[in-house]
Amino acid sequence: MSQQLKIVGKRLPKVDAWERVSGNAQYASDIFLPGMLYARILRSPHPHAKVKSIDVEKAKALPGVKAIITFKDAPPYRWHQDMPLLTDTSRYEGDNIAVVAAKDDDTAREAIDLIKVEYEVLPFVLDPEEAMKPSAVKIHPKGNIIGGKPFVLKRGDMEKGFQEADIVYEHNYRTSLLQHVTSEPKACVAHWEGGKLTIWDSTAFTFGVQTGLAKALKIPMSKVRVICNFMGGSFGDKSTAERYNILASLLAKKTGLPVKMEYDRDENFLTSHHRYPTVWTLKYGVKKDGTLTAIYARMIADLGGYGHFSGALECSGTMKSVYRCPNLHFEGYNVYTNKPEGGHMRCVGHPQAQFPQEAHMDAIAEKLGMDPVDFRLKNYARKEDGDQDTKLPYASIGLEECLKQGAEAFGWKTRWQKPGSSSGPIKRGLGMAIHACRHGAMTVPSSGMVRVNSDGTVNVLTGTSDIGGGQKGQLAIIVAEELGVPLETVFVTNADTDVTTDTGGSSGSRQTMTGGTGARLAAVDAKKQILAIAAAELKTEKEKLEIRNGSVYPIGSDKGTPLNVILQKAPATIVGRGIGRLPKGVVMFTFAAHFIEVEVDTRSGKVRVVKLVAAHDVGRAINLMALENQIEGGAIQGMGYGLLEDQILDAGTGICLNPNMVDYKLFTIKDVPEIQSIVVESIDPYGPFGAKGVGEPPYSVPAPAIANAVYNAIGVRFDRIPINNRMVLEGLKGAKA
Amino acid sequence: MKAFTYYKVNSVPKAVSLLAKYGEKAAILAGGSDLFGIMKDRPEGPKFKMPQRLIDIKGIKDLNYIKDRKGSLKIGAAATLSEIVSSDLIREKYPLLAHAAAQVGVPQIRNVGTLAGNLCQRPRCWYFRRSLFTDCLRKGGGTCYALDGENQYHAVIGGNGCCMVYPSDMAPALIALNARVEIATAKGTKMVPLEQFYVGPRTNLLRENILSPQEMVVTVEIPKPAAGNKGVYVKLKERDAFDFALVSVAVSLTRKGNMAVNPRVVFGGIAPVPLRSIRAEAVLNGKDLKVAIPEACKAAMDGAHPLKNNGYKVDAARGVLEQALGLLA
Repeated sequence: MSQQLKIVGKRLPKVDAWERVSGNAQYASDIFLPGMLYARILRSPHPHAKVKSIDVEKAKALPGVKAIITFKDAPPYRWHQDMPLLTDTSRYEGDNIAVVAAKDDDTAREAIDLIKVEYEVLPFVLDPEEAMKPSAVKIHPKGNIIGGKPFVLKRGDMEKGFQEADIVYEHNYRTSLLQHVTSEPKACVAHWEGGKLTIWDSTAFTFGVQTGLAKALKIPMSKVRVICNFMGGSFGDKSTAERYNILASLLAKKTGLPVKMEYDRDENFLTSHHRYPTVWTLKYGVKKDGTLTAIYARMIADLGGYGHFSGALECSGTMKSVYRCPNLHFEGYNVYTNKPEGGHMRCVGHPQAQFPQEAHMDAIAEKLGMDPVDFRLKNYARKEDGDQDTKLPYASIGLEECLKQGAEAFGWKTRWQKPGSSSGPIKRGLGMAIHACRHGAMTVPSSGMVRVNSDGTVNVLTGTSDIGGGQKGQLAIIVAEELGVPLETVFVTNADTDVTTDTGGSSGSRQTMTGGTGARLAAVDAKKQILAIAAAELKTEKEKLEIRNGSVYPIGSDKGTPLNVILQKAPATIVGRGIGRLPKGVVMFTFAAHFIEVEVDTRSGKVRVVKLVAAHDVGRAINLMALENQIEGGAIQGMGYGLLEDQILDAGTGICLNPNMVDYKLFTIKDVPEIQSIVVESIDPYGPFGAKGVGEPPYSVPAPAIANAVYNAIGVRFDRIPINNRMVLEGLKGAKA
Repeated sequence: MKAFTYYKVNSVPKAVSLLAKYGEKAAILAGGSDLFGIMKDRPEGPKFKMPQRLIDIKGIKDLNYIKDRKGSLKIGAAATLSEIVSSDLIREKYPLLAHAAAQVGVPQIRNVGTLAGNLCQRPRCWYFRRSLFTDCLRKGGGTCYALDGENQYHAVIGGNGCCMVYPSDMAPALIALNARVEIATAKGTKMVPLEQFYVGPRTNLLRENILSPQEMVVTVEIPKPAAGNKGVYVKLKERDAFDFALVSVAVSLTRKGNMAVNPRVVFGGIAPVPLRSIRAEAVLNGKDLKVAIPEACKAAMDGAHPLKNNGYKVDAARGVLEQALGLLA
């Protein structure tokens, strides 16, 4: 690793930028097969209802309708643990009742309109605190608290921690329901040839889709091929086999024809596994000198109509990890409501926990009369603290550098003032927040293959989906660097289960680690084979040779032999194989500190972010341009989380009011402030060339930093996000009253 | 979207003869940025059905112009908002209008969206726009879901019966400029002050303006502004692009020294119609503008009746008026 890096760390464009911007990239919805049918799902208009009767006769009689499946004839398979493919009991607005395949999309839509369903409308519950009450309507037979009890995490002695504290601060917080809003809605084409299913899908995890489909359809994995050449965004969605994949495959099987299933935008809003809302009580104890002595967190994860994972567990990482604290009690309930299904979204769980924790820490710093940066510096968990429960240290950590370099670039020490210091109707405020999480680590085994062609060019075969983060380019750079070939000779074939190997999903910010490590080790293996051939050919030892710029050189010599010449002597095509796994006992984390300046117009309630300094410990930059793109993109989405985004369900009917991009408000480019990215390289001992992932952390930090900056501007502290005009004006009024 | 019959017409008489024949079953298509959105979402109710025939007027040459006629400004119904934003004539003599047009949506929408389309757009109320709320009053049903529902974006004034807000940016600006619209039917044309073009829910629950299904807007005419006239449009949005007004205000007035004369103050986003504030105008008229600002802002919201979630819009409306008057002072 001590060698001079030639490609890693440069600022390089995406390897597939041209295909993406020219319209040549082939997405799932660009697949058209002869005879292909179009599928549509009949969705429940009620958040909670039981189907009394369903009549498909009229729809069946419509010319062009080829197949209809309802909950009556769907296989009994449960997606994850509690979700039927098609249901007779709707648990949120948009739940799947039936599915139609027809000769074209218009006919499929018309057929959906012709299916007559009579519902028995049931009482529904949207508020998770209401849902937990014994009197609440039961959404699933065992009640609304999933598993019947909370997820609990304990460390030390919390009561003792509070006794040691000079200040104990308790406050409640809430976060809202958010959507990924991928630029490409869900889409797939399913096609059977004999007993083999091929499915082109917009997915971050082709191997996950493969496993899921094999299980649901009861066929061997070898008979399922999943391909994702290009996709338009994931952000945690599209990360597993979905119900629509299975339904499209069933319809294709039933009709003997290929079937395309493509969601409308509103369907994506109603049925994605979104960022679940949370409700919090935090109580932290701290000594006069700023030392944290106890953390108590009680929270509710509102998982909507179905729960396939522990939202509470995902949130707990933040309370457990960011700060050094010997005494901890975390208690989180996973709760059913009649909302869309909660799930994974960029940095799952942490943004929901980061907002309350960092707002809480800001309030405590003020009570202590301490600078918020100093308060963080005092309490953040050090390298030797690592995982405070297992006592294993972090493999690498650059949080202190993030804090110090970020504060320096931002001018924190000279510009930060006491809350409410500015005069005039437009108030300026500064705020900050820090972040630590396990995203960006190698959380699953990695693998990869590298094939060196006889002309010296290279194909990387990897399961990694490029979800827009530039994953393909990362792998190309890693392989080119390791193998010593020019970047433009490396082509990445990815996300095709027939020809590549599993690297886990492109989620958890993991592909630089998993896809990258597998590909790098495969390049090491290929290099070893090539150098062995070269050593025999050049009559030397392979340890005395190296590959540079596509040629084999004796180390230190400038007289090289091109790879294509060496490879003429290869017995067969060179295939390198890489398998990587993080050793047991290694704790890999990523870190960040954000500094934000806002302007709050007290006349209109408008919060404008003026400047963001985002410092991230990334291990090592593989491609600076892609890295900054990830930091900026994540931070922009995270600012929308703090200021705008909120999926709203009507309290009276349980129906979603804004399943569209007009009323569900994403940040636009005009809302984006100047962003300064600071790259801190802690050189992780386990990452490829020292790199760690970065896709998710930038999302988690801006919202609390904004909330703290708004407080600094107007002296009103908000315990809910998004902080929109309404919230600010109501807050100002409340403060006056 | 359901299939429809498409007519490409090249003259106003042809367009209105089709309207005369098909009435409510037909709709005028220009930019389509509002119409197609509705036709895709299909928010039908007892008295609101999707049009089956679309009359495309983009090919009518004499509907797309911006011209000076004896000192007054005439704009054809199908002139796009981008054309209004970039017209030298408008930027120079009617900057208020250019400000307002520049605040609509995003460039892509302004490139296709037309002036008359902006003036005739349907409400953005999310209960109206979602197809599942079939009993909505404005669709001919019996319920205002917003009244006790999620009404943070709804009317704070004049919302009796239906509390949607009229979303147009061009309407407040044009009313502030005392504009008139020319309306055509198969039988002829008539001129109507734009202020009287819009109707509240108590006059008509099903439509936002006086147009009958047989009528269409063909021209907007703006009288020559008085010497010393100044105007400004301030729009408060939750985000800086692609957003309808939380509150907006158009102010047009004539400066005589420090005095404001003949002010017109028109709000958008707070009532079911673009709302003139006669009270604020009375406070401002003939007064030292700077001095009168606080009282005008207060008076502008006299008579407001906010709902459960939208009290903040009263403060915001005062806030944008303060900002607008500040820009003119």
